[in-house]
Amino acid sequence: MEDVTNAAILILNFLFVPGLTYGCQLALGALGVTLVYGILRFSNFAHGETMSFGAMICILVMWWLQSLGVSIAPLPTVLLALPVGIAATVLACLLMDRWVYRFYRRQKSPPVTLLVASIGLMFLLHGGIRFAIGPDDRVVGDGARFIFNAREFRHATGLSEGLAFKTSQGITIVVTVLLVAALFWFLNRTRAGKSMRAFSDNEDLALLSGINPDRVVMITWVLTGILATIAGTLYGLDKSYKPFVFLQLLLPIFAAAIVGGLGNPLGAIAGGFVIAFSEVSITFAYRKFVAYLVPESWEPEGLLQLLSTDYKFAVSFVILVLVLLIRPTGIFRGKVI
Amino acid sequence: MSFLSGEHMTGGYGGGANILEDCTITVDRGEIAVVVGPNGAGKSTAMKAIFGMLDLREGCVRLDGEDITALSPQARVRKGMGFVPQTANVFTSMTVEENLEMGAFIRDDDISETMAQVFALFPILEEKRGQPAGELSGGQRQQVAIGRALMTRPQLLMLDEPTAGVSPIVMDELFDRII
Amino acid sequence: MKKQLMAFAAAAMIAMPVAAQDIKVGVILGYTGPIESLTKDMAAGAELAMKEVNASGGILNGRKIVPVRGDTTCTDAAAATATTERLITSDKISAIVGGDCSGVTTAMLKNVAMAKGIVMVSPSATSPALSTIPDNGLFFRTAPSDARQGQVLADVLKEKGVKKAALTYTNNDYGKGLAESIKANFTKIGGKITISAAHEDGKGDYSAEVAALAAAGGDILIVAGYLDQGGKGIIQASLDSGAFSTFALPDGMIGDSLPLAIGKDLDGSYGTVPGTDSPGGEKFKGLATKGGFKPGPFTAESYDAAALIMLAMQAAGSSESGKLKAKVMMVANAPGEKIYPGELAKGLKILKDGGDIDYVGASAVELVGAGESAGNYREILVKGGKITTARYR
Ligand SMILES: Nc1ncnc2c1ncn2[C@@H]1O[C@H](COP(=O)(O)OP(=O)(O)OP(=O)(O)O)[C@@H](O)[C@H]1O
Ligand SMILES: [Mg+2]
Repeated sequence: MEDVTNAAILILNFLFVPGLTYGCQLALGALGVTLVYGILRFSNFAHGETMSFGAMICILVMWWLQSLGVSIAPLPTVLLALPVGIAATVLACLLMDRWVYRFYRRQKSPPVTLLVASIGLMFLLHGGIRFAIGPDDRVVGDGARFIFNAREFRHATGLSEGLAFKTSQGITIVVTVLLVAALFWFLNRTRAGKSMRAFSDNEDLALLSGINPDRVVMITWVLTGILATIAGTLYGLDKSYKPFVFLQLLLPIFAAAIVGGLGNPLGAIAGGFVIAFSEVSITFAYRKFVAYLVPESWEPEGLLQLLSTDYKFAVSFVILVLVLLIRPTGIFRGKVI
Repeated sequence: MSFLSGEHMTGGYGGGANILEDCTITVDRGEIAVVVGPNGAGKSTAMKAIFGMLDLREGCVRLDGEDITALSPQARVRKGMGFVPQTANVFTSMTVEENLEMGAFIRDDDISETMAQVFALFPILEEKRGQPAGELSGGQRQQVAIGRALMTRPQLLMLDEPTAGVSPIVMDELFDRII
Repeated sequence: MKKQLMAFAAAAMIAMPVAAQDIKVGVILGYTGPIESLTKDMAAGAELAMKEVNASGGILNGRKIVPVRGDTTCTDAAAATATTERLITSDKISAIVGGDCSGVTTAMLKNVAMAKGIVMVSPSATSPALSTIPDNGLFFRTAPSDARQGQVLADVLKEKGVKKAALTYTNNDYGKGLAESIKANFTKIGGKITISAAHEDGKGDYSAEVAALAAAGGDILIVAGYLDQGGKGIIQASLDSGAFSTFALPDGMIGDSLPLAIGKDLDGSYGTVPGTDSPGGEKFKGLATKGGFKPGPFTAESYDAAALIMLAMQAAGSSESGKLKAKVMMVANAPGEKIYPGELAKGLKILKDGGDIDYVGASAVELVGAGESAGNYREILVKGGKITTARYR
C-alpha cells in the first residue's frame, strides 16, 4: 500500500503539479492569442514578446520596490508590481495597434499581412527587451520559496517520496483561476464582453447592431495586455525570467490555442492543459513509478521514457499537426485557419 | 421629400466591376417598398449600399433629408436604421437572448419591454431564449434575425429575403405585426 | 626605382622601432557568453604576468609585451575564428593566450592558428579531444584534460562513499568529454552511473530533465555543466522537486555566483576544480589581490600561460611562434631552476645567460603528453553558502 502511495506522490510531484502550473501559464498565454485571433482575425506572433515585455516591466518595478525595502513576504514582491506592468503593457499593445495593425486593418489587408507585421513587432520587442534588461537569467521570486517542500513532506508523512509545492505554483494556480473566472464573467455577463463575442462571431452583423469596432478592438488589446503581463510574470516567477525563453514559448502557446480551437477562450484553456500534460507525461521517465508498483525482480532496466526531454517542444508540434489534420477546428470548434 | 433615398448609387465589391449602376431607390415614411428581381440582380447589394457596407463610387444616400453617405454602418444604426441581411444574420455562438441584447446594443434604456414585445411576436424564441442561435432551425433563425433588428425600435427596417425558410403562417403574422 | 627603394627603406625605418619594441600577445577568451563571469579575472591573470615582465625591462633586450584582447564568446566557433583571424592579421599578435572553452579553442586552432603558425596556450580548454588533435606542435594548455578531472572526481565520489550517481552534462564538447571520462573512471572503480543525460543551456525550465534524472535515481547528481546556465537550472529544479539534495560539481560549476544564487541548500555539495597548494599558488594569490582582481578559477593557469609564452620567447631568442614552440616544454619542465610567480625576471635572466629553468608558476605547471598540464586539483566543499577548500590532490 505504501508503495502505491509513493507511486502516486511521485506522479503528483514530478508530473501533475508541474503540468498543472505549466498548463495554467500556457492557458493564459493562449487566451491572449485566441482573443486577438477572434476579434482581429490574425495570429499574433508578437504575443510571446508581449508577455516578456509585461514581465520585464514588473521586474523593473520589483527591483525598485526592493530597493525601497518594500516587501509582502511570504508573497513575492513582484505581485505588487503587476498593476504597473499591466498598465505599461496595455499601453504598448494600444500603441502597436495604433501604429501598425490599424493601418493594415483599414487597408482590409488579408490576415497573413497582419501576421507578418506581428512577426516584425515580435523581433522589435525582443530586441528592445534585450536592450533594456539584458539577456541574462533573472530570479523573480522572493519571499517564501515553498508552501511545503519535499523534505518536510517526507518527514511529515514518513513516505520515501517527497512532494514539493512551491509558492510560485500556488500563486500561478490561484491567479489563473481568478483571472479566468473574471474573464469569463466579463465575456458572458457584461455588455462590453458580449459585444466582443458578437464581433468575433459575425463582424458585419455586429456593425449592423451598432457595435463600435474601434471600441471592441481597444477592449481586446486591454484584455490581451492584462493576460500577457500576468502570464509572463507567472512564468518568470515559477521558472526564471529570461528574454530568450519567450521565443521558444510561442510554439506551445499557439499549439494550445489551435488545439483548443482558435478564437474560443474555453478552448484556449483546455488546449493549454492538453499541451502541458502531453509534454510532461510523454517526456516523463516512468521507471521509478513502475518500480514501486511491480515486485522487485520485475524492476525495469530502462528509464521507460517515451521521448527524451530534448524533444519536449516537438510534442506540441506533433499534437498541433495531428489536430490540424484530423480536426482543424480544434477541440472546441474554433475558426478554421 | 422622401424619408430614405439612395440616389444614383454606383459601386461594386472591392475593386471589382460595378454591380450597381446609377441605381436610385426612394421610400416614404410609412411606406412599404419591395425590391424584386432575379437571383443575382443586385438586390442585396443595393441594400448593403444603403447601409454603408459597400463603398459607393458615385451617388449618395439620404435619410430624412440628411446626407449619410459617409457614415459607418454602426452610425446609421444610431440614426434609426435597421437591417436584416440575407445570410449570416444571427450570432450563431450566442444565445437567442444575447442576440436580442446585441440588437439593442446602442440603447442605454431598459430593453426588457422591447424584448417582451419580440417574444410576444415570436413565442418560440422565448422558449429557446437560452439556446445558441446556431442550434436553431432556419426559420427560427430568421425570427431571431428579425427580432434582433427590431430591438433598436428602428424607424426604417430593411429585410433581405425575410420570408426565406419561414412558414407562411408565421410570415403572415410577422408582417401583420411589423406593420 | 631608386627613389622608391629609398622611400621604402625610410618607411621601414620609421616602422621598425615600434615593431622592434613591442611584442603583441593575444588574450583571446570568452568575455561574453556562458563563462563571462570568469574571463575578466582570467585576462587579468595573463596580463599580470605581462606587466611583471614589462616592469622588469621586457624580454629579448628590452622589448615590451602588449596584450590584445579578443572575444571567443565561449560557444560561437565562427565568432572565435573571426576574432583570432583579425588579431593575427591586423593586430599582428605573435602568440595567443587562449581560447577558453574547448569547442571554440579547437576551432581557433584548426581554422586559424595552424594555418598561420601561431602558438596557442589555453588556460582552460579541458576537452580530452584536444590531447590528440594534430597541432604542428603549436598547441599547449596549462589546464589539464577533463579525462584527468574525471578520474579525480571519480576518486572523490568513491571516498565519499557514493555507490550510484546520476549524471547530466551540458550538450557540447566540454560536457560530453567530461561526462564520458567521469563515467568511465567511476565505473572502473566500482561505482554505477544510473543515467548520463545531456541538457541544453539557455532553457527556462529544467523540471522535465530533472524528472528523468530522478527516475533513474542515485545518491548524488553530478552536474557537468555551467554555473551561469543550465547547470544552475538543473540544480534549482532538483532542489525544488526534492529529486536530489547533494551535487557533485566539476570545474564549470565552481564559482561564487552559484552558492549565491542557490542559497544554503547547496551546502554539503562538493566538487573539483583545477588548483594547487604549491607555494606558487599562494604567491599568486597575493599578487592577484595586489593587482586588483580575484584569484578565481583558471586565473593562475592564465598567468602561467602568458608566462610560458614569454619565457619560451626568451629561450628561443625570438618572438616568432615557429621558433618559440620548441622551447615551451623545455622551460616548463625539469631540469633547471624552479621559477615561481613574481620571479619571471629571474627566469628570463637565467635563460638569457644560457641556463635552464623549470617553470612551476602559479598552478605547479608540469607539461605532459603533447604539451598539457598534468593537473593539480582542489577538492571543494560548499559550506555556509561559500566554496571552501577541502584538500588538494
Ligand atoms: N461579396 C461579394 N463580392 C463580390 N461580388 C459579389 C458579392 N456578393 C454578391 N456579388 C455579386 O453581385 C451580384 C449581385 O448579387 P446580389 O447578392 O446583390 O444579388 P441578389 O439580387 O440579392 O440575388 P438573390 O436573389 O440571389 O439574393 C452577383 O453577380 C454576385 O455575384
Ligand atoms: Mg440577395
